[in-house]
Amino acid sequence: MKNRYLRNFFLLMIILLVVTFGFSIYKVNKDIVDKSKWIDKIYNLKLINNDINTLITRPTGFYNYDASRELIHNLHQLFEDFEQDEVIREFLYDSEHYLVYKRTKEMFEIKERYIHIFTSSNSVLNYAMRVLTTIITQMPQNHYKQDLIKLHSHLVLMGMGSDSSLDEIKSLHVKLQNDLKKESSSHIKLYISHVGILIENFSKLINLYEENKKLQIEKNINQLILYVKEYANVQIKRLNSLMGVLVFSIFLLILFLIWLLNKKIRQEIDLEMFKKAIKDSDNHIVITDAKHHIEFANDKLLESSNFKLEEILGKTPAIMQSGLHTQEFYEELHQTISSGKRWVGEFINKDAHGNLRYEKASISPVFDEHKKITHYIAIKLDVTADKLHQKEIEEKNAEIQKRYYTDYLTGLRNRNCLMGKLDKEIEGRLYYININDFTQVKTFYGMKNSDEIIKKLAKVLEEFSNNQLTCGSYLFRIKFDEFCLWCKEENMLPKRLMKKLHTYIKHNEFIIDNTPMNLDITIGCSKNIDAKNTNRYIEAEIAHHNARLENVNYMIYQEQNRVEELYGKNLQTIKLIQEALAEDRVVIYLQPIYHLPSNTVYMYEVLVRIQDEQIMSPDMFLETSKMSKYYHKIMRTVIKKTFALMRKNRDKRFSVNFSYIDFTNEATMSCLFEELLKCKAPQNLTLEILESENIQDYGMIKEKILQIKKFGCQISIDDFGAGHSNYYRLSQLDVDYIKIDGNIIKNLDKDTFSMQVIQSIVDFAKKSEYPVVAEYVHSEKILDIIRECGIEYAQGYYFAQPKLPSEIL
Amino acid sequence: MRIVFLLCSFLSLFFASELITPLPLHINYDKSKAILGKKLFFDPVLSKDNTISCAHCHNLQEGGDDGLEVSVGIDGKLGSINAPTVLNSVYNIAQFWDGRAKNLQAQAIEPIHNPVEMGIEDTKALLKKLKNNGYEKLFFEVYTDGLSLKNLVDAIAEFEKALITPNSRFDRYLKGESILSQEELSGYELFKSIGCISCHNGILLGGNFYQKVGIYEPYYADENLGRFSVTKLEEDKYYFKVPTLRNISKTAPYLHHGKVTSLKDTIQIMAYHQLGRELETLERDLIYKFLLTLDGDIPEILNEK
Repeated sequence: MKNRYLRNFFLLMIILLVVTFGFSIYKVNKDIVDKSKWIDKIYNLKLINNDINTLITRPTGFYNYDASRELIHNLHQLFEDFEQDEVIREFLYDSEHYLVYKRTKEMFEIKERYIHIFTSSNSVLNYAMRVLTTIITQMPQNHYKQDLIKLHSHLVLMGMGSDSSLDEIKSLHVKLQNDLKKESSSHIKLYISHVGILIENFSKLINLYEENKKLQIEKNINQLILYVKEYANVQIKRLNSLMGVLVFSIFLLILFLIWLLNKKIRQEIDLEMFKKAIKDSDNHIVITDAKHHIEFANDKLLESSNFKLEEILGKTPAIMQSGLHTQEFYEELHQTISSGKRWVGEFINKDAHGNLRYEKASISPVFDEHKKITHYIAIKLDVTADKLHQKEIEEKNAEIQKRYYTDYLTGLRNRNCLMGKLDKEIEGRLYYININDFTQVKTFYGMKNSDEIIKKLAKVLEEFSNNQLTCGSYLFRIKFDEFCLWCKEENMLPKRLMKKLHTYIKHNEFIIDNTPMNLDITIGCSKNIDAKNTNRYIEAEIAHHNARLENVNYMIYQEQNRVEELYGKNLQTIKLIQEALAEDRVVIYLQPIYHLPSNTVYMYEVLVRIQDEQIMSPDMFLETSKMSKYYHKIMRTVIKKTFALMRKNRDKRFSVNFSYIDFTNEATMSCLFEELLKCKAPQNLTLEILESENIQDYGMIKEKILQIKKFGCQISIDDFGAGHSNYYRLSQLDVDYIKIDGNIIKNLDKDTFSMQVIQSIVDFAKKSEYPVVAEYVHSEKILDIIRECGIEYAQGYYFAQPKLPSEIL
Repeated sequence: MRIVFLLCSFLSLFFASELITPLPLHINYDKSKAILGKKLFFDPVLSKDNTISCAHCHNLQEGGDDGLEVSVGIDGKLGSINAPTVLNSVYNIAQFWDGRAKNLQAQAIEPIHNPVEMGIEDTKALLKKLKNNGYEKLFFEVYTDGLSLKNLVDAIAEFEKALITPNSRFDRYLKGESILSQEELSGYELFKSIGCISCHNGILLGGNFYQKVGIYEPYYADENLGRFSVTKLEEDKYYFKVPTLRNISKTAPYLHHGKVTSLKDTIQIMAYHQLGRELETLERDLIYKFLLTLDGDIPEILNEK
């Protein structure tokens, strides 16, 4: 549409260009020719003037006066031409030009008059001169002849152009006239009268020359020529500028044409591209005219529909209809596209062999410049293969989903399904059902039969669920002999349900290998909704667990159940440790150990603490941490911080608690050795080995202790007198001193048995020369007692509470 | 240079044969215009009362004039001057005795409006009359702007341009034929030697300039002052255009007033007043015989349709 306008515009411009250019060239050419013509004419004025001058300034003589007549004719013709010439008329619009022209014309009128005077005088003059010559030659000798000859020679001279002799001729003429008054000679009289005529005409001619000289017509003509030239230049300049404009506009037009051409070429390239795109497209493309007759179908369509091009050209797309769509479907389609809108949808068509093809299609109308529909373009995508694939995938998906949520053995829902169900259904109790002592059953009946038992139980449970529970219940098998029953609406109280179920199972007879048997189950029931820290599955399991512990058939979950509490607390503690480690809140505290005889601090015991909202002592987290990997991290932190403290305080001694599991952890040990190697005063370090724990590999510990001792470190036994520590082991290890279990010291003031234990330990130490340290010394009374016992080193609240290193050192 | 010119001019006194040139056999003119002009020339519709045409006073078969002392216009009105011949008039320096018309066009318009000639007062009425007589079409055939006064006189002038009378016996003599008798040749020699030729020369034997009537002896035949009536200059009094001598035998009566009917008398009058000499009868007759050789052919265009 736009293209046609452009083409028309283009053509119009070409025509305009050609016409304008042609006309301009013609006009310019004509103007230049005209100008040169009339400039020539003006120059002709000059030539004619010269001719006239030549004519009228000539000396006397006979002439063919045709020449002078033609001169005048030419002059008239010239002025007539001027006044009829449009260019000159235009030129004369200028008042200055006109003035000069008018003056010139007037001067030429004067000139013309000069010619008349000249011709008439000249003819008379010639005649007179001739007559005189005849007379003078025929005149007989007389006494006037001398004068006459003199006069005649003057006349001849004058005839030859000498004006000066006119006066002399005149005086001679007057003299002769006077002298000859009496004379009757006709010859002389004739002569004199002729001379009179001659003088008269000579005077006229001489006068004429003078006047002609004064006329200064040349100057006027030159002025006129000057004006003409100026005018012509202006005209030519105007033409030049016109040509300039023309050339410029032609240049612009050419640019425009180039642009158009370029655009057209690009459009054609685009068109070619689109053609190719349509031809090679994997989509089916059909173009029909406004009456739905097919005009074009691309290769892909032909290929997949098995039609031949000549079979479908000129026909409507109805030949592809499968008949599976309703009449309304086609009506709606036609209505949409004939209203100028695009239709998008899916077809089920058939190909040439009658096979069904599924096609996604869009049909768009194409308009001409009058917004009238000329064609329809249908772009279709064959999705037959996709449809089949999709179906297959859907089936497979369903199967996978089924498998994912189904127990392979019983066909019941499985654990995955249960978890999803619990997420979805926030209400409804869950019952955990388990066969009692199924391990024994398995051993008794064998693997194959036990599977059979599970299957049968599943069936029975299903029966129960279907028959006894009226609504909203699902049965799941978790693993082995674990089943879960989710019941949505409590149409039955949990206890009643469980009792009924238990009875139902217990009285059901299972036939295994043709042998009847009975099963006993235990049931745990969750709460109706999930609690904050647990879910209903865990609750039911715990309830089941507790029911087993308490040896009852069923139980409903109670929140106070111990297991759950412990579980929650441990989790909390672990979390706390984890955070403390990350935020460097695991710190060391120091408690001084006094040398009692000198009453000075002998060394400091390093104790671990966690800085939380309050300071946490090891008994709040250390045992829990041993369940996780964090214990060793805490230990390494303590080691590192102790060595850092030692670097700062080289004159102080420190003792660190070390347990058996520390010796077995490679990372902790390598950390210790690393620090020892770096340390410049390792002799200030004492390792207090915790005896209370069960030490299995003594040899390994002995070896490690030997290595440590090589650095100059001291070893002591912690909590001596409690648990597993004994004298034998003391002898096995190369110990530097012993620390008595704090629990023994703590009760010294109340317990006489403790007194005896202390006494025996001190006696043993004295004999074996082990220095002894007493801990937990919290009062003066106890201090007195241990002094009496002869213990030299003590620590406890009586002396100082454990404090941060910065507070003590 | 002046001397050379002078010598030439004096030589020319004795070898003056080239002072008269023959008429060309043909003249270039626009034929279609001339044919239209011819029709107009003979058409009395140009006069006020449809009685007088141009040809009325310019009989082309007989010397191109009317043979009357003065012409007779509409209603029998008399003119004031002898009608000059229209033949060969294209070669005149100007038209009319006093030269008041610069060319044929300017001449042609005057008699139309002259109240004692054709007496047209209203040009528009004339044009309308011509239109009614079918001239419009004819004019459009020739002139792009059709019928107008300007085109009217232009057509007539174009016709008059064609009115040349070549092939006179004297012209044929000039072209080298020995056709003239001894008397005629003597007359020609006399024509040159007594000085007639000093005014009557050129292609028309006259018509090239104005000359005073009565150079040597004043000539007061009437009150006509000649060129003075055009220029109003005292010095132009009694100056008339030198008339042509071609076809002189057919253009009687003679002189501007037309009062002299005999050519021989005219020769004598002219010699006396213009050359200051009285001709003998023999001289007069010889010149007369010479003048008779100047009759040319009837213009070709008159034989055209």
